[in-house]
Order: sequence, then structure tokens, then C-alpha cells
Amino acid sequence: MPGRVQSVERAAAILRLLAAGHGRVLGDLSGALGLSKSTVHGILRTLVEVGFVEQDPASGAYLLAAEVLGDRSKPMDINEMRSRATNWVDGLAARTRLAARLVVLPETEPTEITSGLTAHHVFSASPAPQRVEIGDEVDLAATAEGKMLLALSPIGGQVLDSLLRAERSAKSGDRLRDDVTLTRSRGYAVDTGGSGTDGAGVAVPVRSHGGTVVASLGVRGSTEQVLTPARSARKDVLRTLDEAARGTSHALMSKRW
Amino acid sequence: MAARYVLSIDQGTTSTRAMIFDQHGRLAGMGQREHRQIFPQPGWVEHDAAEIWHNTRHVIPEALADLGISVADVAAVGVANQRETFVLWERTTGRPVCPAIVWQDTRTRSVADHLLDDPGADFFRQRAGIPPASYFTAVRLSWLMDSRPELRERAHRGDLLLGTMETWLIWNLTGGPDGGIHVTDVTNASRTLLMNLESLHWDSELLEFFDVPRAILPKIVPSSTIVGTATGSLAGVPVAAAVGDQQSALFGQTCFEAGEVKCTYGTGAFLLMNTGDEIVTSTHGMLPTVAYQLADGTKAYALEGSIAVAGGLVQWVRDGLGLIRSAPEIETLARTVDDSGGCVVVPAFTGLFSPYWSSGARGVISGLTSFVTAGHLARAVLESCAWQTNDVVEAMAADAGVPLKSLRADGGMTANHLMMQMVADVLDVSVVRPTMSETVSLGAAYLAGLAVGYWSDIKVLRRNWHRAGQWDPQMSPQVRESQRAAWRSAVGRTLGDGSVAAG
Ligand SMILES: Nc1ncnc2c1ncn2[C@@H]1O[C@H](COP(=O)(O)OP(=O)(O)OP(=O)(O)O)[C@@H](O)[C@H]1O
Repeated sequence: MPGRVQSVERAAAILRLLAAGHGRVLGDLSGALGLSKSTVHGILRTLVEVGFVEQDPASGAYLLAAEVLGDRSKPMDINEMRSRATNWVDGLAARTRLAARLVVLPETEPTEITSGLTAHHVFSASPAPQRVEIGDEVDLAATAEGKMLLALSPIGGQVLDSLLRAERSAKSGDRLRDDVTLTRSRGYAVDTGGSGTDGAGVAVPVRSHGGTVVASLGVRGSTEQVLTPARSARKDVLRTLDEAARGTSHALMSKRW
Repeated sequence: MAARYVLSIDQGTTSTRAMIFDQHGRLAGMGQREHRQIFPQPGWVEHDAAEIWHNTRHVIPEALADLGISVADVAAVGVANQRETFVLWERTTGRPVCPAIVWQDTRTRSVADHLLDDPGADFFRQRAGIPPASYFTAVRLSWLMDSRPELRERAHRGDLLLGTMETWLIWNLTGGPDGGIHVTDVTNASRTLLMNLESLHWDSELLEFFDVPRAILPKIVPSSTIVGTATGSLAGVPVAAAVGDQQSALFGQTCFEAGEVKCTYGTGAFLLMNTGDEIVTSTHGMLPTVAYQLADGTKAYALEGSIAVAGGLVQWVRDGLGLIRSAPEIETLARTVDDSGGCVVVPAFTGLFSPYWSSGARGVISGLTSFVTAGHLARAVLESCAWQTNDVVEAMAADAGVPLKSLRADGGMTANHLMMQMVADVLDVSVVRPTMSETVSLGAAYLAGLAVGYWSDIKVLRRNWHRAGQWDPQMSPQVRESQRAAWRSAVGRTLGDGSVAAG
């Protein structure tokens, strides 16, 4: 068997590093691999030329090209996500007559994430005045959608840890940890309002390729509308929610876009 | 057991979809397929009708499988379609004898301009309600038969059948050469420039003028009525509705009362106002058209403002410029900046429709400086949709004599949150979106369901409408007026109107 080709090995190591993160700069890569900047730069240039790697013109960071990822591991554009999901999220609100929300974690380092982001929001059937909340921040610890993401998103654990580090009250920290554990075990999240949110909410995960959780889909309404007296999700609500989440997953993964 | 669903086919400009709706007008399952856009020459746009029928046959079982139901669960099927696009085919084989010439096609521009001079727009308006334009079927049909005389000859011999897309699909759905039903509905017929808008019959003088033999024409029927029974994967299901896509959206938005308005943002954008049983003639470039006719003969008219390019401009940013990978990414790009940096885009790719009706207009990007980035351009693209809407709204208000109170919006582009806010800002009225944004499909489903008694009457349908979102105006009058001035001046350039451009 011929010996290993060193430059291919190095290129593979670079690709592996890029696959792990949200884009890395040259110095960062050369440090991580213990190779000189000029060596790493040469390999990167080749990788860019063959279309395996892209350089973000603004930050100069290197990223895996969408082509290599088959457009999969790269987080989906939030506006595209809304467009793809809209029929299902609309349908969810129409079926339940509750407000529906699709929430994602912002595209930054896990340790910098302090809140979720509303990718889509559909009004409840109530005639009361309502405001479109698309683009609004979502409290991760206080909402069902947020807890769902902390529990099951691939970076949820890291985000939870950093939220807990910032949490001053040990009691509420413990409560959040318990909530997230419970969410993980039952597969859906619940909130009963508080800290600026009314009523109650239930949320379930939205999965993409390989089962990765990329968003959470939730409904909110009065406590009686979404929860049983024992504070678990109403079966009918959960069934409709699960069905909409499956439809949304399907829409997010479909090629036709 | 009573059938639980209604299936609707939306034969659109870029794709064909089958959608299944339940009693509450909620989407339960769907299938979709795109077809090729064929551009043989600049300004020419064609589809392959055989491909469209092939796709239709494919998406129906796909939708049934998506929901996991059988054909026995389907109470009725309705067809909504891109309007004005037509095809000719052989009666005995079902083979198209020409490409489907699409509504966006401008090859007959000079023919249409000539007709404006002789015999003049009024000749057409008095009969069909609409002026001659390459947009309408008859102008392109007569061009086709002029340039291929053998087709005119075969048409006169009765070898061929003419159809807009709903006619083509229903003929095929009901058996094709083997007993296929050859019909069109009043809304589609009202866009051919061949139907008399008052009598709702083919107009002898127009047929004679364009030399269209009656033998090729489908029978005109109400939008909601059982025309036949489907074969194939929908075997046994009543075919119970046919309706032009925009009228379908008006119906799907439950705009049943005079004065109610909707705007559908797809490839183009189409604003329709229900005008009740009255034909409102326009002096501001709007088109009077049939809104719908029910099986009992009840009919409503509408006033329409047509915008040729809305989402189509976003498609161009994606495919022509390659600035984005998917249409919704335009919002991400547009949000990288706070305004358009003075850049204005007027997308007169195929001339300008309402209210200008200038087939000679060509697109303009104005205010271009080195300051302008892709983000500014993206914003200008979205703003152009809002300002085009405003042009139509102002013209319609002038015709109808009442200002717009609020706008019901739908279509794929309404997922664009930024654009919805821009429309509200520019129009200075609230914009609302229903939970069912696929109103084109929904309208045809409603019409089909009404015909077979799946829904008892239109009052039931109103209760299905829910507000999904509402955008209220936030723009200051100063900003609105300065954008308006920039828009006006750019439109002036598009029209080649030096005086406006200089102003
Ligand atoms: N989020 C978005 N932002 C901007 N434009 C969008 C967005 N989503 C879709 N579009 C544009 O809207 C159009 C698609 O909308 P829709 O699916 O309603 O089209 P359509 O005109 O109904 O198509 P067809 O005529 O084939 O049915 C495309 O032109 C696309 O570029």
C-alpha cells in the first residue's frame, strides 16, 4: 500500500475543523493544527478553488461550501425556513385556533446565545389586537419553544450551560435544569406563562436531516386551551402540533427550492 | 361514508399542484411539480402543455398519498389556472399542435399596439370589457394562426380544439380523445378577448375580427358546476369547478361582497376588487372582469389591476443575478441595510401592465451609485412590489370612487415579512394575511365543493377565514412622499417619458 499523502491528510483535518464550527479564520486554523499559516493558507486556497470551502467576504472566515454539505448541515436561512414552513404553521394555527410560533437559535457561538429567534408567528383566531412577532427574541428559559431548543437542539446543552452560569439564583437555575430534563424525557415542552408571556404554551421539536432538531414549533393560548389540569399538554393539541412539526420537517428537507 | 375532502388543482405559471382541503378549508395534503419555462426568443414565453398534463397526472396521486386517502374520499375536484395561456390540440389524438403561449409572452406587442390604433381600444372594450394587449389570448392566438396558416385551416376544418389551461386539463381529466369534456368557465373566458362581458357568451364580432372558428371553442360554463366525471386516478370524482387563478384567490379570500379587495403576490401580482353584479368600467387602466358565476347563475364582477412582475423579479435576482440561492433569502439580504440607498427598480420586463398598459416599457434601475450594494438592490426589489401595488390601488380607488380600507394579501411572497410591512407602509393601510395563503387552490376547492353540496353556501365559507397576520403602517409621511417621488420618476423613465425623468 502506498504511504499516506500528507497534504490530503492536512486538508481532511482542516475540513473536519470547519465542519465542527461556524466558520474559522486562518490564524485559528493554523493554531488548532499546529501548522504554519502559509501551509494552511495554501491548502485552503486549493479547497476554495475546488469549491469545497468558501470564504466569508465580510469576516474573512472560512466555511464549508454549501455544495459539500449538500446544503444540509449549514443552518437554513431563517426567511427561507419561514417560507417553507408557512403552510404548516398557518395550518396549525387554523386547526387549534391558537397562536403558533416557529423558533430557532440564532446563528452564533453557543456561549453567546441568550435568547431564541422567532422565525414565524401566526395569530390566534381571537379578534383581539395582535402584533406580528416575526424576528422577535424569545426567552429560552421561560417559553415552551425555548426549553424545547435547550433540551434537544445539538447545541442546546452548551447554551443551557452558559445560561446557567449567568443565572444568579440557584433555585431558578435548578428549576430550569429540571424543566429541560423533563422536556427531554417527554419529548415536548410546556410553559405556564410568567416573565412577560401570557397564558401557557406547548412546543415540540422540528427535525431536519438525520433527526437533527433545527427549530421548535409551539402554540400558545389560555391555560385551559393548551394544558390539562395536571399541567401536561392536552392530547388533542399535542397531536395537531406533532403532525404540523412532521409536516414542517418534511417541508424543510424537501429539495424543491 | 360521505367523502371528506375536496381536491383542487392549481395549474400555475411555474408549477402545477394538487391540494386537498377539508371541510374547514384547511390544507390536508398536497403534491407539486414544476414545469419548464421555455424562452425561444427574447420576449417569448412558452410551456409544453403535454408536460403540464403529465405533471398534473403525477401530482394528484401524490397529494392523495401525502394525506393517505383514497379517491373515494374526494367529493369533487376543481381546477384553477394561470389565465390567458392557451394551447391548440388535435381533437382525435389529444396531441398539442403548438407550444402553450404564456400570458407573459410579448411577441404580439406590435400587433396589440396596432389594434389600439385600428380599430381602437373601444371596439374591444365595448364587447369584452378589456383593451387589446398581448396579454390576452385572442391576440396571441390570431398571431399564431397567421404565422402558421395550416393551423387556421385545420381549425376551420374542426380538427383542432382551443383551450386555456383549465380547458386543456379538464378535457384530459374527463377522458381526452375518449369523450373528454371541452369547457371553459366565465372567468377564464373573460380573459380571452373573445367573450362578451355582459352576455357571457362568445362574441360573434370578436370571433370574426380575430378569425377564430367556433368549432375550436370550448363551451362557456359557470365557475361552479358539475361539468363531468374524472377518469384515471380520480375516476368517478365529479369535476365541479374551473376558475382563473386570480378570481379563484378572490373567492378563496371570501371576498364575496362588493368593495372587498385582495392582492395575490406570486410571479406577478393581481389585485381584484369585487364589484357585485355591476360591471365597473375603468378610466384608469383597471380591467373589468368576471369574478365568478355559481351553478344557479348568480354572478359577480370584479375590477382587476394586474402587475406583470412581482415575485418574478425576485426570481431574476436569484437566477439572473445569482445574488441569492432561494427567493426568501432576498429578505435576509434586504435586511443587511436600512433602506434602498436611493436605488429604485421598475421591473418592466414585459412592459408595464396596470395602470400604465405600456407594452413598450422596459425595466429601469435608477439611482444607481457606487454606494449601492446587493442589500440595497434587494430592498429596492421588494419596495418595487409595494409601489406597484400602490399604483394599482390608487387607480382602482379612482375608478371605484372609494379609497381602500385594508388589503387582504396572499400568495407565496406573503411569507416575506419585510415586504408585507413595506406594502402596509406604502399604501398607508393595514395589510392582512389569512391562515390559508394558498387561496388560489382554496377558491377552486370552494367552488367545486359548493357545486356538489360539500359546502351548503358561501356564508359557511366566510367562517373558515382566519387572520394569520396583520401589518399596520409605520412609515412617516415624509419618507413615503420622497419614495413616491423617486418611484414616479423611475416609472417615467421606464415609459420613455423624458419630461418626467427630467423632473
Ligand atoms: N419569501 C419570499 N420572498 C420574496 N419572494 C418570494 C418569497 N417566496 C416566494 N417568492 C416569490 O414568489 C413567487 C412564488 O410564489 P407563488 O408560489 O405564490 O407563485 P405563483 O405565481 O403562484 O406561481 P405559479 O404561478 O406557478 O402558481 C416566486 O416568484 C418567488 O420568487
